Amino acid sequence: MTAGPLVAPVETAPSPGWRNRSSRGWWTATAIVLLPALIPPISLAWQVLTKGTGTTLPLGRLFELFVATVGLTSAVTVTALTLGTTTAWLTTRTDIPGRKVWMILAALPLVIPSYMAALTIIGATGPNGLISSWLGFEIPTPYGFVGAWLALSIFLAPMAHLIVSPALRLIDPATEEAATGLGASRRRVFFTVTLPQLRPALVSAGLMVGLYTISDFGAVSLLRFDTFTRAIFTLYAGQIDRRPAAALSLVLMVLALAILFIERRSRSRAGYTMTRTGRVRRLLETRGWPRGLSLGFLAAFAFLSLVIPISVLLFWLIRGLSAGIELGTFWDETVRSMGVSVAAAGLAALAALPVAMVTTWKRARLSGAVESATWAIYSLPHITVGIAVVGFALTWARPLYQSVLLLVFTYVAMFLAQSVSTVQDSLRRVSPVLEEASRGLGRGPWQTLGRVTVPLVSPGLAAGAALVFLSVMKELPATLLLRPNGFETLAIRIWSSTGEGFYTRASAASLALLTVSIVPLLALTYRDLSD
Amino acid sequence: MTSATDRLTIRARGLSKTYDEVVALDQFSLDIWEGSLLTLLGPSGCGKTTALRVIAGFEQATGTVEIHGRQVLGPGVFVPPEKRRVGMVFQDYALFPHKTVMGNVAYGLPRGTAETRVGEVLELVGLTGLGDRMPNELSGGQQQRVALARALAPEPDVILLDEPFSNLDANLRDRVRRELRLILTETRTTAVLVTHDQEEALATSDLVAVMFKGRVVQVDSPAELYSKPSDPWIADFLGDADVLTTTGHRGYAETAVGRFKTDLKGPAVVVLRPEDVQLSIGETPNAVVVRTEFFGHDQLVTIALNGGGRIRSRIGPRPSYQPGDRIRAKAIHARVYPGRT
Amino acid sequence: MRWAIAVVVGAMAITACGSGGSGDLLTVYSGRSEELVQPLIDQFAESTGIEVEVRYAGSTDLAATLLQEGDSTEADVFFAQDPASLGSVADLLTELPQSVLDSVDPRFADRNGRWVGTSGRVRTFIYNTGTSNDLPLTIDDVTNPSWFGEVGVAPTNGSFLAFVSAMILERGEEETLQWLQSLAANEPQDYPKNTPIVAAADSGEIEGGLVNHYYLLRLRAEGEGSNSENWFIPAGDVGTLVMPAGAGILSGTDVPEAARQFVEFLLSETAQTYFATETFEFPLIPGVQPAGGLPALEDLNTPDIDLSQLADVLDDATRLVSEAGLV
Repeated sequence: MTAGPLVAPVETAPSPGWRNRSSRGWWTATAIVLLPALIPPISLAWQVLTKGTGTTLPLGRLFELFVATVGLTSAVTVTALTLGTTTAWLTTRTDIPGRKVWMILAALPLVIPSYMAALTIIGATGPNGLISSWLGFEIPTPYGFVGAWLALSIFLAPMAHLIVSPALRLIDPATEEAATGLGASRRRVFFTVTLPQLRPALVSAGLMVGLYTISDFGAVSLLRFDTFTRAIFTLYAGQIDRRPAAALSLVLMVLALAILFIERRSRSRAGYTMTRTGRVRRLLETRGWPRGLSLGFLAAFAFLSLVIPISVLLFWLIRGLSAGIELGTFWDETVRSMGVSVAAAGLAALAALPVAMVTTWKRARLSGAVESATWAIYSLPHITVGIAVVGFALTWARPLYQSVLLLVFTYVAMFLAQSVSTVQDSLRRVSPVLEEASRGLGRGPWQTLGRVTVPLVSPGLAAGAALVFLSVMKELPATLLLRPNGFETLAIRIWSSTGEGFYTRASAASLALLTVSIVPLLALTYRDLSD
Repeated sequence: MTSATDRLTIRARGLSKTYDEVVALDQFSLDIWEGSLLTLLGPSGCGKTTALRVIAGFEQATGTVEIHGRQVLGPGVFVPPEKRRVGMVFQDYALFPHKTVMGNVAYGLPRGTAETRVGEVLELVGLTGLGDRMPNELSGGQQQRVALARALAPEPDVILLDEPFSNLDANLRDRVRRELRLILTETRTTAVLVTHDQEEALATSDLVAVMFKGRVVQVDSPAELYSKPSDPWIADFLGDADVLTTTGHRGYAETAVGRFKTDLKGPAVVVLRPEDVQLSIGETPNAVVVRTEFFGHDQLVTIALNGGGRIRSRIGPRPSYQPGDRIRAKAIHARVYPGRT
Repeated sequence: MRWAIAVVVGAMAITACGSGGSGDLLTVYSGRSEELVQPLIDQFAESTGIEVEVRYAGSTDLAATLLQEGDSTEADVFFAQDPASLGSVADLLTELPQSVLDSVDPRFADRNGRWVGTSGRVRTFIYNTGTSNDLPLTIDDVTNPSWFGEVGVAPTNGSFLAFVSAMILERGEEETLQWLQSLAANEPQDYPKNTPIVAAADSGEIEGGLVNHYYLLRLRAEGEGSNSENWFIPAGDVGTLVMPAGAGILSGTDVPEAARQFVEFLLSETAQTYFATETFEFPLIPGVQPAGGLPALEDLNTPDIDLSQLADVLDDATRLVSEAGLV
């Protein structure tokens, strides 16, 4: 998949800064990509500072929201990390049968957005739900904290799984053997050697899950748990004066950035290198009840995260259809969802190239800042981005207001970091010397770009595009705020139908979304496996 | 070299292991004596690392292994690696990246005694004062020494080293090798070293065991091994060697460069080392110079014998021969082995 | 690589094509839900050939959006769920033709002619028939301890806010705040919209709720709703407030003719019959009868509130609801 002769990770010497001619183009392109992406937070701050905050919520209420948000985030992070690490461990370190299948199953729920998860919970429980119809007894719908916690934990665990798995695989098996050779029991090896080396991945996964939870809007609004995002939307949609919503958005943005900042600082001095020996790791042998327990756990997780949601959706769909409910077509929404997703994915992949270049092959002093900026933008909760961009467009870019173009650009800004990280991965596997070799053979910069550079990073571009495609398909709050008139996506359809109690419609649209999303996700998972 | 009163630290007998149709070990047997440094030498894929790992307990195999008389591997017996008191230095050092040098070295020690012992060992390997550094802050040579210190600290029965010098720069290698030898001798540690580099094996060890396709084919001191290899392949593996085919007849094997005593009858091969081949001008030429490679302190001259066959001669920097020169070659020493029919 | 670019450009073209055609395009901002009104709008589009693009969102949300957008808004017609939302953007609305205003009772139109009511909606107290509580005789009874934790409200919904605004007009801010606080103290169940409240009351999840009258009737049309009933609070206070849904034309419209046609259509017999028989609201033009077993509007004891003033106190209503801790 990557270039043949130079596959080992290469120590790249920094090229002499952005003044170097070969780097200048990349840095310029990066500026073109990143500076507009910085508009949302800046314009929001500007909005709030110049227009004031209106009458905001009383301090007591703010404190309540803070506690609720932080509480939910912590609970979800711990749960998702535990679940995801367990599935990662079982599928990479033990010899239980069918590992490849379990790996795919563990990652698959990523395709289910949080509002669909909420729909699942609502549709399964309650007097009309799946459980009451099939099993006869009723589980009351867990609105509030419990429901939100469940919905987010189960469906964010795959994210933790996908981050922790490769880390588990990349830990040098020799360090664990060395520990064993020095007399450590299996338990001691795990806690003193394996887990500490897993720390960067755990922190990274925790960060992803945490930011996602803070930003989540769909699940908390449908399951009626008041966090910052829900309160922001309530203020935005429920009042004539938009200023309090903007003010609270700014607060939430700062909170998200604070978390990101803390994570960056916590990076320790230890250097964790990729394992260089091709040695195959010995898998932990399992027999008897530990094996049964492991398989049981994986099966239970797959059941909760895949079987139940699909069953609920099918249940409501079939029941509704046989009761004669008219569905209408989702053709328009599907086309629109796919259209903006593909457009944003393509643009994001393209835009990722200069940013990735400038942070790997063409490093200079500003590279750290560029990296931080990209992640900072990614960490901003989507509803706050939506509010910021609406305000910006109305004040400074009226022709773009309520346009598809603005919507797509906003998507690209929000999800750029995803494609940047996959392109970075590709670039790190290949030596920058190849570019110089091409120039030495007489090819100009654009030719080198087209014939050498881009083909070499095409796996990263494709993976980045797939990730962004999935993210945009699922996106809800920013789409709600920015969409042109009459422009409904599948996400909006699902959310509004669920909110109004039209579960059949919501289920049908959900199945449509899942069908469209499944292909890129399988491609991504498969690629991860074969790496 | 070894006497009956020397203790046997490790005794491995009949170790066999197959991975997916590939035979890694084939009745591998070896004795390792107390206080000695034995090198397991062989080409890649010959199973030497596997043998090491079986002794350490990281791999299973059939056969038996005894350490200081105690059986750690055998039918129905398997002592896990953490209970074997075998120290291991890995090829890529496998230092714990999240622990300091001190943390790494102290890992195998019981709490309490750690600090003094760590200090001792760090001094031994010449890394005093670096206890607080992280592995990624050290050079390759320093990392290797930490790996050694870590393995030595718990005073194991034997220390196993898997290609310990292969990741070092060439100029560092010699120095580190010598230092390692000194440390091992000073601490009277029994050691087994695995390498594919024959120079390294010959220079450092007390005994060399040559491995080929999963079994030990010869165990001897470096000098004996070099001058009396039991097989042409070993001869070639351990140094430069050229082969001439001939037959053994009436006590001699006759070649264009000399005639050598042998009891063999029938097809034979004569193995020559370049340093045993002398060249002269003036006598009746029996060869033509093909090319010369000049190394400064010596040169290697490749010659084509008039009767067929090419051999090499290692001579001093003078005189300088040109391709096409007719010369006389004579071998002063050779070994004769049975040939193939 | 070229292939990929082509796909991206194609995708953008497809999505952009969906929206933004020129020609007679009527843009409607509808605070009324898609389920309820899209079929009617489709009828209009078919019979007139005018292309209609609708933005569905909450009435308050759309009002706020209109205010943000100002004169350059794309919207041509604002079709709202309640008069308060309409009133808050009154400055952006143009005066409607007299013929339109004359088709309804003057109390269901804006005093200054900026908006006209299109169907009557009455606040009601829905209750589960299995409840053992006494039904409220006044709106204050809803905050009785017997209803603790059993009442559903949608505090961000336009209708609820209009209801609170009406209470402010009737009783003043202080008493309204007191009522809201009593309600909050009674731990009501919080829902985003009215439909879920009705479903919940019917299933027994809650025993009562403050909603608009027609939701239950719609539920019955789908075969559900057999466990709950509408209760029109007899005291004639804001508990039985009549709030028309209504429409107004944005003065910045680029298709005034089409906009006028649309509003007229909403007051036509076709549309009014639709409102009566499909959405179970009270028709506002003479000659069309309410359906679903509803009494005539005149026969209900409804409070006398100047609907045009609702918008003035909407902000206060929002503030009070927030202060009382309901949001």
